[in-house]
Amino acid sequence: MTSFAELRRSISRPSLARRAALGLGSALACSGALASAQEATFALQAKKVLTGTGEAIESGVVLVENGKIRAVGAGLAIPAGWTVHQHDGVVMPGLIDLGATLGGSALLENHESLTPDLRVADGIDLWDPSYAAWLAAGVTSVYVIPPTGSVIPGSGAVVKTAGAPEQRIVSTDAGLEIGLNSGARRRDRAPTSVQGSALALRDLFGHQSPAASVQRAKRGELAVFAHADSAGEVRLAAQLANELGWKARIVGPALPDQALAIVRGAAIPLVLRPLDYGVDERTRRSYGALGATAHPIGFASLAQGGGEPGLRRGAALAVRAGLDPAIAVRALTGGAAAMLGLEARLGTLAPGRDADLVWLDGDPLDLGTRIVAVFVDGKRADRGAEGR
Amino acid sequence: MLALFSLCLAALGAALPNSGIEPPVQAAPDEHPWLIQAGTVIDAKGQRFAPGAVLVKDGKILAVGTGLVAANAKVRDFGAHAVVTPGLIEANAEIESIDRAEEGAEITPRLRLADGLDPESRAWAGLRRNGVTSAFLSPGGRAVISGRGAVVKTMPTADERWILDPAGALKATMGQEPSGGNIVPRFGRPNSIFYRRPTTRMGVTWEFRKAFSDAQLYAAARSAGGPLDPDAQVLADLMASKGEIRMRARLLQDIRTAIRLAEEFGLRLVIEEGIESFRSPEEILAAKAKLIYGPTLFEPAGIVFGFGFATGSVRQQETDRNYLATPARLHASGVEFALGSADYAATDRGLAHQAAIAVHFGLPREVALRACTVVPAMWLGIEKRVGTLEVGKDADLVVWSGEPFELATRPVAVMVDGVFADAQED
Amino acid sequence: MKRSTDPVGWSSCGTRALRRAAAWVFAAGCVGVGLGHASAAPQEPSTPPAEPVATPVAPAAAKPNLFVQGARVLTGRGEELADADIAISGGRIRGVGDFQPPANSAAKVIDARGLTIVPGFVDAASDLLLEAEARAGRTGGSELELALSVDPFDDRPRLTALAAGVTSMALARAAQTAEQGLSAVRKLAYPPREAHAAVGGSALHLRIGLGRDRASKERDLRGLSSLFEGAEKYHGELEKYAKELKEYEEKKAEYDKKVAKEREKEKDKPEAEKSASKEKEPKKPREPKEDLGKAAVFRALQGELPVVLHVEDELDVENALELRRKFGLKLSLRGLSRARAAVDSIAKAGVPVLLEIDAVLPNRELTRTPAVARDLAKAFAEAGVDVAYVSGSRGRELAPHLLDLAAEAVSRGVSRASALRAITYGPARALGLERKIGSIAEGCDADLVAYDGDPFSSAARVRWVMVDGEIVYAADRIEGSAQR
Repeated sequence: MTSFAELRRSISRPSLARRAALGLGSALACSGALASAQEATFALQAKKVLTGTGEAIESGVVLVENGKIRAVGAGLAIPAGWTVHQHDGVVMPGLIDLGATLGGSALLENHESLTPDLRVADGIDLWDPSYAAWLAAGVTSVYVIPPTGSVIPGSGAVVKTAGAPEQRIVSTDAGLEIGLNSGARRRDRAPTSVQGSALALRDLFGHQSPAASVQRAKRGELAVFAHADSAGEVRLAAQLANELGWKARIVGPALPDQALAIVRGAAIPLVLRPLDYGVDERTRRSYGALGATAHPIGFASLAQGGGEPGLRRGAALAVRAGLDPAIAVRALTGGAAAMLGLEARLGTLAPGRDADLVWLDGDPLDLGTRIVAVFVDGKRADRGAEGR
Repeated sequence: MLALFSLCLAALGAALPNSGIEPPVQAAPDEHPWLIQAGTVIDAKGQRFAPGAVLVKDGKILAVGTGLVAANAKVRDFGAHAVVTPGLIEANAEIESIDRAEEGAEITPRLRLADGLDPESRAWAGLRRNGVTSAFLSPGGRAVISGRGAVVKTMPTADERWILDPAGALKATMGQEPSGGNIVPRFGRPNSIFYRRPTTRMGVTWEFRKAFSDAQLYAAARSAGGPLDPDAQVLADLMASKGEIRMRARLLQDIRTAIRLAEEFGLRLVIEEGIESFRSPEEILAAKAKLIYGPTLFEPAGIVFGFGFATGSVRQQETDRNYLATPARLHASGVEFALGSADYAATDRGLAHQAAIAVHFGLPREVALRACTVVPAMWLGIEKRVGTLEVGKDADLVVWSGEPFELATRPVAVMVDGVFADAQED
Repeated sequence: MKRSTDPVGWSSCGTRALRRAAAWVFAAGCVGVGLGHASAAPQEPSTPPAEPVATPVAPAAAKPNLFVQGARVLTGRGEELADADIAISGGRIRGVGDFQPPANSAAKVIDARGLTIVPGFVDAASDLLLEAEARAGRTGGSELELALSVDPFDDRPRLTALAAGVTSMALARAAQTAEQGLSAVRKLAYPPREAHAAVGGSALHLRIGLGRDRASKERDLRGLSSLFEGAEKYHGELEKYAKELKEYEEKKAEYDKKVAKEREKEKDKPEAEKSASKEKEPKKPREPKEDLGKAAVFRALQGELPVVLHVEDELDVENALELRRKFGLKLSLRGLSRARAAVDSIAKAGVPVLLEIDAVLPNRELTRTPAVARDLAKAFAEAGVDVAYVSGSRGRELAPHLLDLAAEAVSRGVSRASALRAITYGPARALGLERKIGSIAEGCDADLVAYDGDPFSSAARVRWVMVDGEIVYAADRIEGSAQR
């Protein structure tokens, strides 16, 4: 007997790619020519190359072949016949937003509080205007998550902000979302309390749950993104992670230095909200207090679409408050990819990785720095827009 | 003037970064012991040292007495008027800043309040201001059986050491609080948490009795190989072990109901609040129930911080019947009780104030001290670590500005596990 | 008791309002107490800053007794000086260039090698210092003095902004009411209640239009017109009263003299024959009702008080410029988030603009609002308008980020020099205080911020902040106290 969940999974899994391929096949017939290997093969000479690992190469060369990075380094020999781009500025990997609900409230399934079977990949609108805004701000990959309006709103997908539609979904299940923050609870639907949420999660993970995402999360194959604001919620998230064997990331703690004090022993990575101008002094100093910590961090806009991701601004303000710039760059790129388990494809400039590049006219963490161009899969994707 | 201002700015700069949780201090072994000197030291075991001193090292008490000397100790002398007592133990604290109750169901025995504790809550400082160093945190009363409370130290650490018992006594609530504001579901899809089952005291009792009766049936079925029901299992285990149930019962009728139910299911009873317990102390004595009395208020009717409109009036009706002399009368009747201040615990009318009222209205001072230290320590099962000033016990103590439990006396410093938290700091 | 110095001759009588009115008449008529801003002729496009005019000082004070040496100095007016010294005395800058402190003098020297020094930032409109009710309140009126709404006990936001380099600030509030009140410029280094905190330069804050339909914009325009006309009329009444009062006093004096004389004459006469003067005693004129609001508006009409008009789109700008033409106002515009099309006419009129975050960084919050030009700040900078980036009605959030706002403007195409100018010289000029604050030049207050790198770089930190020649914030406290 097939359970409803299994049935739904069997229906939904291939659907997106198929839909994208079918629905757009005709529309993209012409752009298929642009996607030829020639376009996505070039050499790039830049004043400075940030590899995303924290390393900076002065006068570096990036070789891009068929949308993938072939080599990165100083003084590399450029194969004959290749197009050479010169850039008098900085080149870095495309930024990664570790959590945004691009597509908005259409992704909030709210009929009950624990819906681990739901997959954002089944509801993504690749042509939501927010992707263009994120792209303009240098973000090339977004971990799209359901809005955190319930204890388990479902699993999130990693989507590129540009590129050929059939290639834009990098991962359909990159993480399981769990809401321990107050926004995830409602008074008219059980559980109404933190400890109720804890019990519901223990029950779900303790028993044989039919949900594949739960099974995978239990085996540590699927990362768990636990949203927690207060120190108490962070404490609970760390406890549950330890108890239920999660490969956990704690998302959006209000005061990250407190969260760090709690999760340091458990080595749970932190996903931070980017700072913004309205943020109070205490929170800003809390970001600064992270200082030069070796603890893995990343940034998630947690935006509902519209506006800007604000990732680069947030990282810059954190640096102003005292965060180490090299750590901030890593958090925006390589560190974020590692949190999604996609470090083999995204986040760093290394052989074999996707050629997702951002060109800037200066230090990426200076607020006055402009984005000159954004490349996704080796192809220029922006339209000259600027953004954060 | 400018110089002064610059100092302010510098102070601002210096003060703000301390926002995070301090790294665990208790674990670090002290290089030097603390020698705390005061005019009087009361050890809560019947001894009074004047002048007295307490020697503390690595979070434990090394010595208590008169004329203590320690070579390399850091000395802190609080003066001739100061009195040192063991840290108080709040036997019934309801903290606003945690989700006290799960409202998704009436019977939630597996819930643990410990899961919702926030080490950054301001409540801990509020408790410490009352001289409280350990507390039982009681789940709220919106469910009939609302889960397990927690026993904690009032100075949170980044790790879990501050939680003494994450699975404290199972809490149930009698009376109108679980039913207040509930609406009978009629038709259509209920879309409010107030569409709930018990709407009267009788309904509350019925829910309780049904849960335990079902658990009895379940236990029988389970031993015959039936399926697992984790909720019923908790109740069945409790009955099998003749465990403790902590019932919030305010009016005499609710106290009687609690006694009856505990007897019916073979449970050991702890009565929480017990506002009308003075009306029939014999029944409490006969039932061998533990009584955690309080809060006592100056106002005849309690100002309610509870659940707003839904149960406010209900609570008021129940707490209305408290009398300032109840502790003294209970003592006169031979009932041993601990003091608790419920939702006043973290306010300036917490335990220090509650005990002061009790003393002011006739409770002997040493009985009041026992009701805030030795008795709750025993009842919460933490008497080996806290409750008295004895060699080897946790260095939890309060320094009072004068004789404790006077309305004019306040705690000036509190030490938890060998670490000072001055009243001013909080 | 008449004072000989009293030019109009009736300061000894009448009410406060009357005395004030007299003073204005005097000021307007005789001297024209303009703030420096008045020199910018309305029809001329904004010109490059005039040479700093050294304020005359007493010789003793002019001898510099404090030297900040060896810094890279960005003057706020666009110049950049490498390895420059700043000479200071009496809280003022006495010179910028190459100085050697006189040998064996008591002059203090601050070693600033490796540091970049910029003028203390000026926020030309901010609600940071106002108490909560004044910030959000819906009461308004031209007589409302915002300085009275400063909360003296709310120190933290002020100190936070000061530590971020903001040294002067003009009080302003959100545009809930058509007449928002009278602002004042304050330094942040002093407690708000201290008398010397005020730098001067009040301005009258009004709003026009602001996100409403065309008809209401029209109504706002008419409302403001009648406000100004009402003030003129009120002033006319006051003038008439002053004139009549003068006549009355002359007549009364004459009459009194006469009566006294007659009394003297009749002293010897028998009682029955005594008669009062045949003439009737002159009638005292009736004073018009005191109206502080109208009085304030009249000061604005006289050009004594600059007017800051809160506007949003180009229609509002048009209306604002219309008012300026009609009443000869000394005008600044604030807001302008949708006024891309009006940039040229503003530049032509030479009106300074105060841009809030939604104008500096348009489209930051929502892409779904009607599209506005993203390059608004750039357009203003390139058109040669005097621009000031202000924290406006989000002072608590944005005042500590004034420099960040400028840095972001750079990412939107504004040049670094213009961006820095928009938080230093630009706002000072918009407030008419460019000879006092907002630049590092001879005669200006020694309000300086020292960064340990390029201020626009995120890695740079404020090392110290100086106000009126004294270090009021030092990142390294010990070093700071040594300087003092």
